Amino acid sequence: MIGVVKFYVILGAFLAVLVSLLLVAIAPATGHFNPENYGWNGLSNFVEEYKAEVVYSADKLKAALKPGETVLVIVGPEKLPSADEISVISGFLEDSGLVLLMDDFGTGSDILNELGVLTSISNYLVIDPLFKERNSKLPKAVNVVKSWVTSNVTTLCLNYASSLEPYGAKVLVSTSEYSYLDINGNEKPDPDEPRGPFPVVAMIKKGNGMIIVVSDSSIAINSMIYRCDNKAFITNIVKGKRVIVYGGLWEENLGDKVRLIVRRIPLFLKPIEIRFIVACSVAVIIYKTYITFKRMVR
Amino acid sequence: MEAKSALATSILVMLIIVADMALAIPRHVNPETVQEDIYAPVFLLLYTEILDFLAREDFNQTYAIIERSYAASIPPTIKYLYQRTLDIIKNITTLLNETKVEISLASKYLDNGFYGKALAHVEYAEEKLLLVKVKIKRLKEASLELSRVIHIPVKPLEDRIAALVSLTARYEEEIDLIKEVATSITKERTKITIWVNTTQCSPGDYVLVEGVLATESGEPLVNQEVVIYGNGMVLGRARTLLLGNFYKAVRIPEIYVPQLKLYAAFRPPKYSEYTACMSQPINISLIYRRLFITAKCDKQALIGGSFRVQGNVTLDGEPVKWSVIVKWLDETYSLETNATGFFTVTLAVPKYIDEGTYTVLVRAPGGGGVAPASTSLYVYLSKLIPSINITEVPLIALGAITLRGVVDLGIPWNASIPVEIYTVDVNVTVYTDPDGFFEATLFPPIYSLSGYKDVHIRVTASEQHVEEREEVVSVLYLNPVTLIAIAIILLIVMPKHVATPRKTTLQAPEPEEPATVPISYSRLIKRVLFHELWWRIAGYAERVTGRKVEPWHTLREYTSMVYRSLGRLGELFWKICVMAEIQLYSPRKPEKTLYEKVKELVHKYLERGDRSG
Repeated sequence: MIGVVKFYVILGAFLAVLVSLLLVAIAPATGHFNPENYGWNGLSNFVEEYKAEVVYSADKLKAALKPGETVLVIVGPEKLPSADEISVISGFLEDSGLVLLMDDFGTGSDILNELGVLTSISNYLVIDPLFKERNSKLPKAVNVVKSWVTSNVTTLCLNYASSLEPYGAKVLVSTSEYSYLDINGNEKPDPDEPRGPFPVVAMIKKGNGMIIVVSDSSIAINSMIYRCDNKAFITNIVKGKRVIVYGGLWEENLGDKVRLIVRRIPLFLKPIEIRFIVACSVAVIIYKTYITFKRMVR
Repeated sequence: MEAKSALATSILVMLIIVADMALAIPRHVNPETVQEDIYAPVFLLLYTEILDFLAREDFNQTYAIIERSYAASIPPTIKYLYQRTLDIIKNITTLLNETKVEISLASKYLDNGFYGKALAHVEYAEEKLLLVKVKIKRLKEASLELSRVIHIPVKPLEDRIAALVSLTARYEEEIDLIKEVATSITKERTKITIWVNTTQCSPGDYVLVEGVLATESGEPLVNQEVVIYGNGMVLGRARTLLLGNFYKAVRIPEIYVPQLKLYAAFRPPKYSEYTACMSQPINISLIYRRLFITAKCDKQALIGGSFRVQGNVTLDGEPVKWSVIVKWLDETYSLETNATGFFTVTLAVPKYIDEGTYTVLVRAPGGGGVAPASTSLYVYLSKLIPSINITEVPLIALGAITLRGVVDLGIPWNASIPVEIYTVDVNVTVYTDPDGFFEATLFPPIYSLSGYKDVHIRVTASEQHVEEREEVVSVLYLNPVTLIAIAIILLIVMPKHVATPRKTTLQAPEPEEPATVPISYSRLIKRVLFHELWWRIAGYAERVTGRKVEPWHTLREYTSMVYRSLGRLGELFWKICVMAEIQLYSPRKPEKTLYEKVKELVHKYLERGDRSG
């Protein structure tokens, strides 16, 4: 009798884990920059607006990039880029490719460094007490230099942004003179903290191509893309081109990982050999379970 | 109990997932829910900055900051007041800028001897300055109101307003000075009169312009330079003679307009005692014949192909045999129209050119009283759109996938085109023959698993003139190596585990229940110990009876065989074997003390055996 109870407990726990995983798989994505996330911090609007294709590996990126026809968008990278990824991006730039890199506190500087670009992201929070939305962590960049990138753009709405250290790059958008870098994180302007304007968008020529760096990863997220002239800014860059978003540098949260794994199961079962093995294994397990169950009942 | 366990597991899994999300590095805040900042009157700094630039007369920068300042975050309670103040400052900026422009124009006219015009601009400047004063007064009022609302004294703002007042005072001084100079200087006014020998001519003809330069009182001005203009262009310069008269034959420029406005102007040196003057204009009608081109070309052409341009040339509406120049890319083609004025030309499009709209310029040159004509035609050069036809594709590909097909570019290309053929694990690039046919065989690697594979056939767009095109065919690929390997493994392994029971050296009698009852760990150990004990007594029995235990013997068979030969020990041996049988093969759990009992019997058995020799 105890054996039967134990069997039920294990079966119950197994089913609970299975149901939990299925629930996570069905539930909407919540990760930052997740193209399937329809929440405030997702990229679904960006992907739908520009019919962007999201790729997750260097091989697929290489196949998707066509200089002159595509624009590569890297939003909020969190992982360090691999040698393969750098080689693909570098090759794309050499062939007159256009790269839009949006990052604040991630590995954007590492990517730029690996590409041999001196420009970097300061990784300090920009706060503007005057030109802002509801909160000073949502500064508005109001100093805009005229160029094809900033056509019809007068203000960019930033969100928890950092600043750029341009080192020779052409600065296109800067924050106001009243902004400051919150180096000690107390959200107050201290006397030794640098004052604005801080560059937030810069254009760098690399090879025959060009990199446009934005020191804020959030201007394209669902809650920000339609604020100020953010959409016009992005449209200027990607206009007439196919947008390829590279997601291989995102650190997915556990929920998204589980979702991805559960959704990949049908792909795993595609080869005939795997199906055959799985079918045989399931048959054996059912048979064994049936026998065990029958004995327990007796 | 089971339900509780399941619920607890579910909650644990969910908690782990939520905790993982919460632990992520913050990259942004939700703009809808983020806490609003506490109000601080930082915006006053904006006003002071704007007024600083204004006081420095940097109007462009002032405008830029004002426009930007509208985007500042201001609490709704004072937003109206803030924007009204900005509007006033913007007005003051505009008016001060205009005042400065007027003053500088007046100053320039004064320097060039146009005193009347200088005075007119000074008057404009005075008007603007009056308005500035009114606006500054309003700005003062607005700043006081602002101070009352935000409960902060606005001293820095008042200082800047005082600086603006001093700027207006400086402008007033400049205006007074210009007025004083303009009214104090007395110069003699001059006039210039011209006439020409004709009122009609053709472009390119020469016209004699004559005239007299004198003061208003009639005194001729000698040896002064007079400039003759035609529609704003300088046509010639003449020097006045003894009686102030001058003449110059000027060439009418080849501008094919209906009328030419001819006039002369006199500009005295900087410190001359005469004023500047300009003659009344004389209109000269231009007579010329007109060429017309009506041309058209194909709206669209393929890169590497050709297109036709054709048209007609007429002179004053009549067909004419005339030369036509067609400019296409970097080439210029000279043609002749036939007697009916018709021309046609076929232009080739190079193979390696970018897609886009290009211009063809068709021009009929003029000259000799004939106005030239030209027209621009537009042709869109489109990329070649290849079509891929797969002529042969296998239903089932065993080990290798062979495809045949043809790439058609729509025009004769007569060159190989690279075709990339790939699946997820293998890719090859083949080249078509000049007719576009290709054949490719893909060998997926040995580890490639069987199943439906999408084979992509792609004509790359590496060159600008060919559109990328991709076709996908699905092929059922079977990997013979993996399939055979799995079949062999299943044939060998599966029957062993599932079908045939494992042979044992000592077979028990048919158990009542199947022998696959789960056995506890302790029982398993006891089984091993039982084997060990049994072999000890069996060894003894073998030595005594001389009968060996054979692999096909069951416990019971061997026991019944040696039972009698063992004599007194036979009964004990039988007893041990029965107990061992229970321990080893019974589906029911034996008594806990059974092992101890058997152990005791074995010792007894061995002791007795020893005693009996």
